[in-house]
Amino acid sequence: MAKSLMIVDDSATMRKIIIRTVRMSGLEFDRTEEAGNGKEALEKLQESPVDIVLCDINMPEMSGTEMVKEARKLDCCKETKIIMVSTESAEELISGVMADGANGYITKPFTPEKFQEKLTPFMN
Amino acid sequence: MFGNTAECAADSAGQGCLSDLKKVFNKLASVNQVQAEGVLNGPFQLFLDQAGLFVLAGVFVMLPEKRVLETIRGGTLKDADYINDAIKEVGNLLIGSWDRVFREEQKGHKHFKQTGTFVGSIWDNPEESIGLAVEQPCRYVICRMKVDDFPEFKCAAVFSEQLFAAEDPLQAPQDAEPAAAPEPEPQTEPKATPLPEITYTEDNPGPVSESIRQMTQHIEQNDTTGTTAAASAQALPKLSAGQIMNPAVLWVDPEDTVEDVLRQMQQHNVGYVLAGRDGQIEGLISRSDIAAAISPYTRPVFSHWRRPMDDAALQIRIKWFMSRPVHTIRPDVSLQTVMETMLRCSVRGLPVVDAGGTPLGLVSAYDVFGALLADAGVSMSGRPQQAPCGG
Repeated sequence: MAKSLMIVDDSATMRKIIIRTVRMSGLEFDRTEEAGNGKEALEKLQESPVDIVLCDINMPEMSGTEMVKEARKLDCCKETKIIMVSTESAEELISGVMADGANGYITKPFTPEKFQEKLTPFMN
Repeated sequence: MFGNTAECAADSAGQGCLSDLKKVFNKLASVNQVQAEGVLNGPFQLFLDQAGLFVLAGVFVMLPEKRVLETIRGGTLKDADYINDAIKEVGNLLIGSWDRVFREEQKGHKHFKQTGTFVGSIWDNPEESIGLAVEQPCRYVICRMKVDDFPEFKCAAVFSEQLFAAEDPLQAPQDAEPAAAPEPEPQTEPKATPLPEITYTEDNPGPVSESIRQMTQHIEQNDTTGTTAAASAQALPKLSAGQIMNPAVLWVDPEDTVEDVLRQMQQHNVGYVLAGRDGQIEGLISRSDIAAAISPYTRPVFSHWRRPMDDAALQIRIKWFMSRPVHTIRPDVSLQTVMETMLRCSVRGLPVVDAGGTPLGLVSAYDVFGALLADAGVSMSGRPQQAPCGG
Protein backbone atom coordinates (compact mmCIF):
# COMPACT_ATOMS: atom_id res chain seq x y z
CA MET A 1 0.00 0.00 0.00
CA ALA A 2 1.33 3.44 -0.92
CA LYS A 3 2.54 5.54 1.98
CA SER A 4 2.62 9.25 2.72
CA LEU A 5 5.58 11.22 3.99
CA MET A 6 6.20 14.56 5.69
CA ILE A 7 9.58 16.33 5.80
CA VAL A 8 10.01 18.78 8.69
CA ASP A 9 13.06 21.04 8.45
CA ASP A 10 13.51 24.80 8.72
CA SER A 11 15.79 24.78 5.68
CA ALA A 12 13.90 24.60 2.38
CA THR A 13 17.11 23.39 0.74
CA MET A 14 17.46 20.55 3.20
CA ARG A 15 13.83 19.54 2.66
CA LYS A 16 14.51 19.27 -1.08
CA ILE A 17 17.70 17.31 -0.44
CA ILE A 18 15.83 14.87 1.80
CA ILE A 19 13.11 14.41 -0.82
CA ARG A 20 15.78 13.76 -3.44
CA THR A 21 17.62 11.31 -1.18
CA VAL A 22 14.44 9.41 -0.34
CA ARG A 23 13.73 9.14 -4.06
CA MET A 24 17.29 7.86 -4.65
CA SER A 25 16.77 5.24 -1.95
CA GLY A 26 14.13 3.62 -4.15
CA LEU A 27 11.30 4.13 -1.67
CA GLU A 28 8.08 5.46 -3.12
CA PHE A 29 5.46 7.64 -1.48
CA ASP A 30 2.15 8.68 -2.98
CA ARG A 31 2.13 12.00 -1.09
CA THR A 32 4.93 14.15 0.34
CA GLU A 33 4.23 17.11 2.62
CA GLU A 34 6.68 19.72 3.90
CA ALA A 35 6.75 21.82 7.07
CA GLY A 36 9.24 24.43 8.28
CA ASN A 37 9.03 23.71 12.01
CA GLY A 38 7.33 21.47 14.58
CA LYS A 39 4.34 23.74 15.04
CA GLU A 40 3.56 23.89 11.34
CA ALA A 41 4.03 20.12 11.12
CA LEU A 42 1.52 19.45 13.89
CA GLU A 43 -1.03 21.74 12.24
CA LYS A 44 -0.63 19.94 8.94
CA LEU A 45 -0.71 16.50 10.59
CA GLN A 46 -4.01 17.31 12.29
CA GLU A 47 -5.48 18.35 8.95
CA SER A 48 -4.07 15.45 7.02
CA PRO A 49 -2.08 12.72 8.83
CA VAL A 50 0.82 10.94 7.14
CA ASP A 51 2.44 7.54 7.68
CA ILE A 52 6.04 8.64 8.13
CA VAL A 53 7.55 11.93 9.33
CA LEU A 54 11.22 12.80 8.82
CA CYS A 55 11.94 15.54 11.34
CA ASP A 56 14.91 17.82 12.04
CA ILE A 57 15.67 18.71 15.67
CA ASN A 58 16.92 22.28 15.76
CA MET A 59 14.15 24.44 14.36
CA PRO A 60 12.61 27.79 15.30
CA GLU A 61 9.19 28.06 16.98
CA MET A 62 9.01 24.38 17.89
CA SER A 63 11.95 21.96 17.88
CA GLY A 64 11.77 18.38 16.67
CA THR A 65 12.01 16.99 20.20
CA GLU A 66 9.04 19.10 21.32
CA MET A 67 7.14 18.10 18.20
CA VAL A 68 7.56 14.39 18.97
CA LYS A 69 6.17 14.86 22.49
CA GLU A 70 3.19 16.86 21.23
CA ALA A 71 2.52 14.50 18.32
CA ARG A 72 2.28 11.53 20.63
CA LYS A 73 -0.56 13.23 22.49
CA LEU A 74 -2.61 13.48 19.29
CA ASP A 75 -4.89 10.65 18.20
CA CYS A 76 -4.14 11.35 14.56
CA CYS A 77 -0.43 10.70 15.11
CA LYS A 78 -0.65 7.57 17.26
CA GLU A 79 0.40 5.34 14.36
CA THR A 80 2.66 7.85 12.62
CA LYS A 81 6.29 6.79 12.48
CA ILE A 82 8.57 9.68 13.32
CA ILE A 83 12.24 9.45 12.29
CA MET A 84 14.53 12.21 13.49
CA VAL A 85 17.07 13.54 10.95
CA SER A 86 19.73 15.73 12.51
CA THR A 87 23.43 16.53 12.71
CA GLU A 88 23.07 16.14 16.48
CA SER A 89 24.46 12.76 17.44
CA ALA A 90 24.80 12.92 21.23
CA GLU A 91 23.67 9.60 22.68
CA GLU A 92 21.65 11.20 25.47
CA LEU A 93 19.75 13.31 22.94
CA ILE A 94 19.00 10.30 20.74
CA SER A 95 17.88 8.09 23.64
CA GLY A 96 15.81 10.99 25.02
CA VAL A 97 13.90 11.62 21.82
CA MET A 98 13.41 7.89 21.26
CA ALA A 99 11.98 7.62 24.77
CA ASP A 100 9.63 10.49 23.93
CA GLY A 101 8.19 8.52 21.04
CA ALA A 102 10.44 8.83 18.00
CA ASN A 103 10.75 5.62 15.97
CA GLY A 104 14.21 6.12 14.54
CA TYR A 105 17.17 8.43 14.13
CA ILE A 106 19.25 9.34 11.08
CA THR A 107 22.31 11.54 11.42
CA LYS A 108 23.25 14.09 8.77
CA PRO A 109 25.09 13.79 6.46
CA PHE A 110 23.01 10.84 5.31
CA THR A 111 22.96 8.53 2.30
CA PRO A 112 20.12 7.00 0.27
CA GLU A 113 21.13 3.65 1.76
CA LYS A 114 20.60 5.01 5.27
CA PHE A 115 17.08 6.13 4.40
CA GLN A 116 16.39 2.75 2.86
CA GLU A 117 17.63 0.98 5.98
CA LYS A 118 15.64 3.11 8.40
CA LEU A 119 12.40 3.52 6.45
CA THR A 120 11.95 0.09 4.87
CA PRO A 121 10.68 -1.52 8.11
CA PHE A 122 7.82 1.00 8.12
CA MET A 123 6.84 0.60 4.49
CA ASN A 124 4.65 -2.49 4.92
CA MET B 1 25.99 12.05 0.26
CA PHE B 2 25.15 11.52 -3.42
CA GLY B 3 28.11 9.62 -4.74
CA ASN B 4 30.34 12.67 -5.14
CA THR B 5 33.98 12.10 -4.43
CA ALA B 6 35.60 14.36 -1.85
CA GLU B 7 39.18 14.47 -0.68
CA CYS B 8 40.63 16.41 2.22
CA ALA B 9 44.26 16.74 3.29
CA ALA B 10 46.04 18.86 5.86
CA ASP B 11 47.79 21.77 4.17
CA SER B 12 49.37 23.79 6.93
CA ALA B 13 48.89 24.74 10.53
CA GLY B 14 50.11 27.43 12.80
CA GLN B 15 49.84 29.59 15.82
CA GLY B 16 49.58 33.33 15.32
CA CYS B 17 46.73 35.71 14.76
CA LEU B 18 43.68 35.86 12.54
CA SER B 19 45.38 38.13 10.00
CA ASP B 20 47.68 35.20 9.11
CA LEU B 21 44.72 33.78 7.22
CA LYS B 22 44.23 36.87 5.08
CA LYS B 23 46.12 35.42 2.12
CA VAL B 24 43.97 32.29 1.99
CA PHE B 25 40.56 33.78 2.71
CA ASN B 26 41.02 37.06 0.85
CA LYS B 27 37.77 37.01 -1.15
CA LEU B 28 34.33 35.86 -0.13
CA ALA B 29 34.25 33.23 2.60
CA SER B 30 31.77 31.45 4.78
CA VAL B 31 32.53 31.22 8.46
CA ASN B 32 30.57 28.79 10.58
CA GLN B 33 30.45 29.53 14.28
CA VAL B 34 30.72 26.30 16.25
CA GLN B 35 29.98 25.86 19.93
CA ALA B 36 31.99 22.99 21.37
CA GLU B 37 31.14 21.19 24.57
CA GLY B 38 33.32 18.65 26.32
CA VAL B 39 37.10 18.61 26.53
CA LEU B 40 37.11 21.36 23.94
CA ASN B 41 34.76 23.82 25.52
CA GLY B 42 33.81 27.05 23.86
CA PRO B 43 33.36 28.62 20.45
CA PHE B 44 35.57 28.10 17.41
CA GLN B 45 35.22 28.83 13.69
CA LEU B 46 35.18 26.78 10.53
CA PHE B 47 36.20 28.75 7.40
CA LEU B 48 35.54 27.93 3.75
CA ASP B 49 37.14 30.01 0.99
CA GLN B 50 35.20 31.39 -1.99
CA ALA B 51 35.77 28.31 -4.13
CA GLY B 52 34.81 26.08 -1.22
CA LEU B 53 31.53 27.73 -0.43
CA PHE B 54 30.42 27.81 -4.07
CA VAL B 55 31.57 24.26 -4.85
CA LEU B 56 30.05 22.64 -1.78
CA ALA B 57 26.78 24.57 -1.86
CA GLY B 58 26.58 24.28 -5.66
CA VAL B 59 27.05 20.50 -5.59
CA PHE B 60 24.59 20.28 -2.70
CA VAL B 61 21.79 21.97 -4.64
CA MET B 62 22.93 20.48 -7.98
CA LEU B 63 23.76 23.74 -9.73
CA PRO B 64 25.07 23.23 -13.27
CA GLU B 65 28.83 22.65 -13.29
CA LYS B 66 29.36 25.67 -15.53
CA ARG B 67 27.57 27.93 -13.05
CA VAL B 68 29.64 26.61 -10.14
CA LEU B 69 32.87 27.24 -12.07
CA GLU B 70 31.77 30.79 -12.88
CA THR B 71 31.06 31.60 -9.24
CA ILE B 72 34.38 30.11 -8.09
CA ARG B 73 36.17 32.71 -10.21
CA GLY B 74 33.91 35.71 -10.04
CA GLY B 75 31.02 34.98 -7.69
CA THR B 76 29.61 37.92 -5.79
CA LEU B 77 27.83 38.30 -2.50
CA LYS B 78 24.58 38.34 -4.49
CA ASP B 79 25.45 34.93 -5.95
CA ALA B 80 26.16 33.66 -2.46
CA ASP B 81 22.88 35.10 -1.16
CA TYR B 82 21.07 33.13 -3.83
CA ILE B 83 22.31 29.87 -2.26
CA ASN B 84 22.66 31.16 1.29
CA ASP B 85 20.44 28.44 2.72
CA ALA B 86 22.59 25.77 1.07
CA ILE B 87 25.82 27.40 2.33
CA LYS B 88 24.45 27.31 5.86
CA GLU B 89 23.32 23.69 5.52
CA VAL B 90 26.67 22.62 4.06
CA GLY B 91 28.34 24.18 7.10
CA ASN B 92 25.94 22.34 9.35
CA LEU B 93 26.75 19.04 7.63
CA LEU B 94 30.50 19.64 7.91
CA ILE B 95 30.14 20.37 11.60
CA GLY B 96 27.95 17.28 12.00
CA SER B 97 30.56 15.14 10.28
CA TRP B 98 33.30 16.55 12.44
CA ASP B 99 31.19 16.03 15.54
CA ARG B 100 30.80 12.38 14.61
CA VAL B 101 34.56 11.92 14.13
CA PHE B 102 35.31 13.56 17.48
CA ARG B 103 32.63 11.50 19.22
CA GLU B 104 34.20 8.29 17.95
CA GLU B 105 37.82 9.22 18.49
CA GLN B 106 38.07 11.80 21.25
CA LYS B 107 37.36 10.75 24.79
CA GLY B 108 35.43 13.41 26.68
CA HIS B 109 33.98 15.05 23.58
CA LYS B 110 30.33 15.96 23.98
CA HIS B 111 29.05 18.13 21.24
CA PHE B 112 29.70 20.50 18.32
CA LYS B 113 26.81 22.69 17.34
CA GLN B 114 26.48 25.27 14.59
CA THR B 115 25.45 28.55 16.16
CA GLY B 116 25.69 30.84 13.14
CA THR B 117 27.01 31.31 9.64
CA PHE B 118 28.56 34.43 8.15
CA VAL B 119 28.95 34.76 4.39
CA GLY B 120 30.88 37.69 2.95
CA SER B 121 34.26 39.35 3.17
CA ILE B 122 35.72 38.64 6.59
CA TRP B 123 38.17 41.48 6.77
CA ASP B 124 35.87 44.52 6.83
CA ASN B 125 35.02 44.07 10.50
CA PRO B 126 35.83 40.52 11.62
CA GLU B 127 35.14 41.19 15.27
CA GLU B 128 31.54 42.00 14.44
CA SER B 129 31.01 39.50 11.63
CA ILE B 130 32.74 36.40 12.97
CA GLY B 131 33.58 37.27 16.58
CA LEU B 132 37.37 37.39 16.10
CA ALA B 133 39.56 40.51 15.99
CA VAL B 134 42.16 40.88 13.23
CA GLU B 135 45.00 40.53 15.73
CA GLN B 136 43.22 37.88 17.80
CA PRO B 137 45.75 35.23 18.90
CA CYS B 138 44.64 31.88 17.54
CA ARG B 139 45.67 28.49 16.30
CA TYR B 140 44.57 27.22 12.95
CA VAL B 141 44.64 24.14 10.77
CA ILE B 142 44.22 24.75 7.03
CA CYS B 143 43.10 21.88 4.83
CA ARG B 144 42.92 21.39 1.07
CA MET B 145 39.68 19.94 -0.21
CA LYS B 146 38.61 18.68 -3.59
CA VAL B 147 35.15 17.62 -4.71
CA ASP B 148 34.72 15.66 -7.96
CA ASP B 149 36.58 17.47 -10.77
CA PHE B 150 36.06 20.95 -9.36
CA PRO B 151 39.16 22.99 -8.52
CA GLU B 152 40.75 22.46 -5.15
CA PHE B 153 39.72 24.82 -2.36
CA LYS B 154 40.69 25.52 1.22
CA CYS B 155 39.00 25.34 4.56
CA ALA B 156 40.31 26.05 8.03
CA ALA B 157 39.44 25.40 11.63
CA VAL B 158 40.36 28.41 13.74
CA PHE B 159 40.65 28.18 17.50
CA SER B 160 41.03 31.29 19.60
CA GLU B 161 43.82 31.02 22.19
CA GLN B 162 41.22 31.82 24.84
CA LEU B 163 39.78 28.38 24.22
CA PHE B 164 42.98 26.76 25.44
CA ALA B 165 43.57 29.09 28.35
CA ALA B 166 40.08 28.42 29.67
CA GLU B 167 40.63 24.68 29.45
CA ASP B 168 43.44 24.54 31.98
CA PRO B 169 42.07 25.50 35.40
CA LEU B 170 45.55 26.22 36.73
CA GLN B 171 46.75 28.14 33.70
CA ALA B 172 43.72 30.33 33.22
CA PRO B 173 44.22 32.72 36.18
CA GLN B 174 47.87 33.33 35.24
CA ASP B 175 46.93 34.25 31.68
CA ALA B 176 44.05 36.42 32.69
CA GLU B 177 44.30 40.20 32.75
CA PRO B 178 44.80 41.55 36.28
CA ALA B 179 41.28 42.33 37.33
CA ALA B 180 40.41 45.53 39.14
CA ALA B 181 37.74 43.86 41.20
CA PRO B 182 36.93 40.21 41.76
CA GLU B 183 34.10 38.81 39.68
CA PRO B 184 31.00 38.00 41.69
CA GLU B 185 30.57 34.30 42.33
CA PRO B 186 27.87 32.70 40.19
CA GLN B 187 24.75 32.04 42.20
CA THR B 188 23.43 29.01 40.41
CA GLU B 189 26.10 26.48 39.52
CA PRO B 190 28.86 25.37 41.88
CA LYS B 191 32.41 25.80 40.54
CA ALA B 192 33.63 23.00 38.34
CA THR B 193 35.79 20.47 40.10
CA PRO B 194 39.41 20.38 38.94
CA LEU B 195 40.06 18.13 35.98
CA PRO B 196 41.52 14.72 36.86
CA GLU B 197 45.17 14.20 36.07
CA ILE B 198 45.60 13.01 32.50
CA THR B 199 48.50 10.86 31.39
CA TYR B 200 49.37 11.39 27.75
CA THR B 201 49.91 8.01 26.16
CA GLU B 202 49.29 6.66 22.70
CA ASP B 203 46.01 5.23 23.96
CA ASN B 204 44.96 8.44 25.59
CA PRO B 205 46.02 11.44 23.54
CA GLY B 206 44.54 13.83 26.10
CA PRO B 207 42.24 16.78 25.60
CA VAL B 208 41.33 17.96 22.15
CA SER B 209 43.49 21.01 22.54
CA GLU B 210 46.48 18.75 23.06
CA SER B 211 45.55 16.84 19.90
CA ILE B 212 45.26 20.08 17.97
CA ARG B 213 48.53 21.33 19.44
CA GLN B 214 50.26 18.11 18.42
CA MET B 215 48.69 18.26 14.98
CA THR B 216 49.81 21.82 14.36
CA GLN B 217 53.30 21.05 15.65
CA HIS B 218 53.50 17.91 13.50
CA ILE B 219 52.47 19.74 10.34
CA GLU B 220 54.80 22.63 11.11
CA GLN B 221 57.65 20.20 11.66
CA ASN B 222 56.96 18.51 8.33
CA ASP B 223 56.86 21.87 6.61
CA THR B 224 60.36 22.74 7.71
CA THR B 225 62.20 19.45 7.89
CA GLY B 226 60.18 17.06 5.77
CA THR B 227 60.36 14.56 8.60
CA THR B 228 57.41 12.23 8.65
CA ALA B 229 58.48 9.08 10.45
CA ALA B 230 57.73 9.00 14.13
CA ALA B 231 60.30 7.38 16.36
CA SER B 232 57.88 4.64 17.30
CA ALA B 233 57.45 3.66 13.66
CA GLN B 234 61.00 2.33 13.64
CA ALA B 235 59.69 -0.74 15.44
CA LEU B 236 57.44 -1.68 12.49
CA PRO B 237 58.68 -4.14 9.86
CA LYS B 238 60.18 -2.44 6.80
CA LEU B 239 57.51 -3.60 4.41
CA SER B 240 55.57 -1.79 1.73
CA ALA B 241 51.94 -2.09 0.72
CA GLY B 242 53.04 -3.85 -2.46
CA GLN B 243 54.81 -6.52 -0.43
CA ILE B 244 51.86 -7.39 1.79
CA MET B 245 49.00 -6.86 -0.67
CA ASN B 246 47.02 -9.69 -2.20
CA PRO B 247 47.29 -9.34 -5.99
CA ALA B 248 44.31 -11.68 -6.63
CA VAL B 249 41.33 -9.36 -6.37
CA LEU B 250 37.80 -10.29 -7.32
CA TRP B 251 35.92 -7.79 -9.50
CA VAL B 252 32.18 -7.37 -9.92
CA ASP B 253 30.05 -5.02 -11.97
CA PRO B 254 28.27 -2.23 -10.02
CA GLU B 255 25.08 -3.35 -11.75
CA ASP B 256 25.37 -6.88 -10.29
CA THR B 257 22.81 -7.77 -7.65
CA VAL B 258 23.58 -8.26 -3.98
CA GLU B 259 22.81 -11.95 -4.45
CA ASP B 260 25.33 -12.27 -7.33
CA VAL B 261 28.08 -10.61 -5.33
CA LEU B 262 27.36 -12.61 -2.18
CA ARG B 263 27.54 -15.84 -4.20
CA GLN B 264 30.88 -14.85 -5.71
CA MET B 265 32.34 -13.87 -2.36
CA GLN B 266 31.29 -17.20 -0.90
CA GLN B 267 32.62 -19.15 -3.88
CA HIS B 268 36.01 -17.46 -3.74
CA ASN B 269 36.10 -17.11 0.05
CA VAL B 270 37.06 -13.45 -0.01
CA GLY B 271 36.15 -10.63 2.32
CA TYR B 272 36.42 -7.83 -0.23
CA VAL B 273 35.60 -7.31 -3.89
CA LEU B 274 36.13 -4.33 -6.13
CA ALA B 275 33.26 -2.98 -8.18
CA GLY B 276 34.01 -1.33 -11.50
CA ARG B 277 34.54 -1.71 -15.20
CA ASP B 278 37.63 -1.75 -17.43
CA GLY B 279 39.97 -1.63 -14.45
CA GLN B 280 38.36 1.55 -13.08
CA ILE B 281 37.46 1.18 -9.43
CA GLU B 282 33.99 2.53 -8.68
CA GLY B 283 33.43 1.02 -5.26
CA LEU B 284 34.67 -1.41 -2.64
CA ILE B 285 32.41 -4.05 -1.15
CA SER B 286 33.07 -5.87 2.08
CA ARG B 287 31.08 -8.64 3.71
CA SER B 288 29.89 -6.02 6.19
CA ASP B 289 28.35 -4.08 3.30
CA ILE B 290 26.63 -7.26 2.17
CA ALA B 291 25.50 -8.06 5.71
CA ALA B 292 23.96 -4.58 5.93
CA ALA B 293 22.15 -5.09 2.64
CA ILE B 294 20.45 -8.39 3.30
CA SER B 295 17.76 -9.32 5.75
CA PRO B 296 18.54 -11.84 8.51
CA TYR B 297 15.35 -13.64 7.46
CA THR B 298 17.16 -14.92 4.36
CA ARG B 299 19.13 -17.20 6.65
CA PRO B 300 17.77 -20.78 6.71
CA VAL B 301 17.24 -20.67 10.48
CA PHE B 302 14.74 -17.79 10.07
CA SER B 303 13.16 -19.06 6.84
CA HIS B 304 9.78 -19.47 8.52
CA TRP B 305 9.49 -15.68 8.78
CA ARG B 306 10.96 -14.92 5.36
CA ARG B 307 8.95 -12.23 3.48
CA PRO B 308 8.90 -11.21 -0.19
CA MET B 309 10.78 -7.99 0.64
CA ASP B 310 13.65 -10.04 2.08
CA ASP B 311 14.11 -11.71 -1.30
CA ALA B 312 13.61 -8.40 -3.05
CA ALA B 313 16.55 -6.94 -1.10
CA LEU B 314 18.83 -9.57 -2.65
CA GLN B 315 17.97 -8.21 -6.08
CA ILE B 316 19.10 -4.64 -5.31
CA ARG B 317 22.10 -3.61 -7.37
CA ILE B 318 25.36 -3.66 -5.44
CA LYS B 319 26.12 -0.06 -6.47
CA TRP B 320 23.71 1.09 -3.76
CA PHE B 321 25.66 -0.65 -1.02
CA MET B 322 29.28 -0.38 -2.09
CA SER B 323 31.58 2.00 -0.26
CA ARG B 324 32.40 5.17 -2.19
CA PRO B 325 34.67 6.99 -2.62
CA VAL B 326 37.33 4.30 -2.44
CA HIS B 327 40.49 5.18 -0.56
CA THR B 328 43.53 3.79 -2.38
CA ILE B 329 47.25 3.56 -1.67
CA ARG B 330 50.38 3.21 -3.79
CA PRO B 331 52.44 0.00 -3.64
CA ASP B 332 55.53 1.79 -2.30
CA VAL B 333 53.93 3.27 0.83
CA SER B 334 55.13 1.87 4.14
CA LEU B 335 53.27 -0.45 6.46
CA GLN B 336 52.93 2.47 8.85
CA THR B 337 51.19 4.54 6.17
CA VAL B 338 48.88 1.63 5.37
CA MET B 339 47.88 1.41 9.03
CA GLU B 340 47.50 5.18 9.39
CA THR B 341 45.33 5.32 6.26
CA MET B 342 43.09 2.55 7.53
CA LEU B 343 42.66 4.31 10.86
CA ARG B 344 42.16 7.74 9.36
CA CYS B 345 39.64 6.54 6.78
CA SER B 346 37.99 3.99 9.10
CA VAL B 347 38.41 1.20 6.57
CA ARG B 348 39.86 -2.27 6.78
CA GLY B 349 40.52 -2.78 3.10
CA LEU B 350 42.61 -0.60 0.76
CA PRO B 351 43.08 -1.20 -2.97
CA VAL B 352 46.68 -0.71 -4.10
CA VAL B 353 47.02 1.28 -7.34
CA ASP B 354 50.00 2.43 -9.40
CA ALA B 355 50.73 6.04 -10.35
CA GLY B 356 48.34 5.75 -13.29
CA GLY B 357 45.53 4.50 -11.07
CA THR B 358 45.73 0.90 -12.30
CA PRO B 359 44.70 -1.51 -9.53
CA LEU B 360 47.47 -3.89 -8.48
CA GLY B 361 45.94 -5.64 -5.50
CA LEU B 362 44.31 -5.11 -2.15
CA VAL B 363 45.60 -4.83 1.41
CA SER B 364 43.22 -5.81 4.21
CA ALA B 365 43.71 -5.31 7.93
CA TYR B 366 44.27 -9.05 8.11
CA ASP B 367 47.22 -8.73 5.72
CA VAL B 368 48.62 -6.12 8.10
CA PHE B 369 48.13 -8.44 11.08
CA GLY B 370 49.77 -11.23 9.07
CA ALA B 371 52.79 -9.05 8.30
CA LEU B 372 53.15 -8.01 11.92
CA LEU B 373 52.84 -11.60 13.16
CA ALA B 374 55.28 -12.86 10.51
CA ASP B 375 57.75 -10.21 11.64
CA ALA B 376 57.31 -11.49 15.19
CA GLY B 377 58.07 -15.02 13.98
CA VAL B 378 54.48 -16.31 14.21
CA SER B 379 53.51 -18.60 11.33
CA MET B 380 49.98 -18.16 9.95
CA SER B 381 49.65 -20.97 7.43
CA GLY B 382 46.16 -21.61 6.17
CA ARG B 383 45.17 -17.97 6.23
CA PRO B 384 42.46 -17.23 3.64
CA GLN B 385 43.34 -15.21 0.56
CA GLN B 386 41.60 -12.17 1.94
CA ALA B 387 39.85 -11.35 5.16
CA PRO B 388 37.04 -13.80 5.80
CA CYS B 389 34.92 -11.01 7.13
CA GLY B 390 35.25 -7.33 7.95
CA GLY B 391 34.28 -3.96 6.64
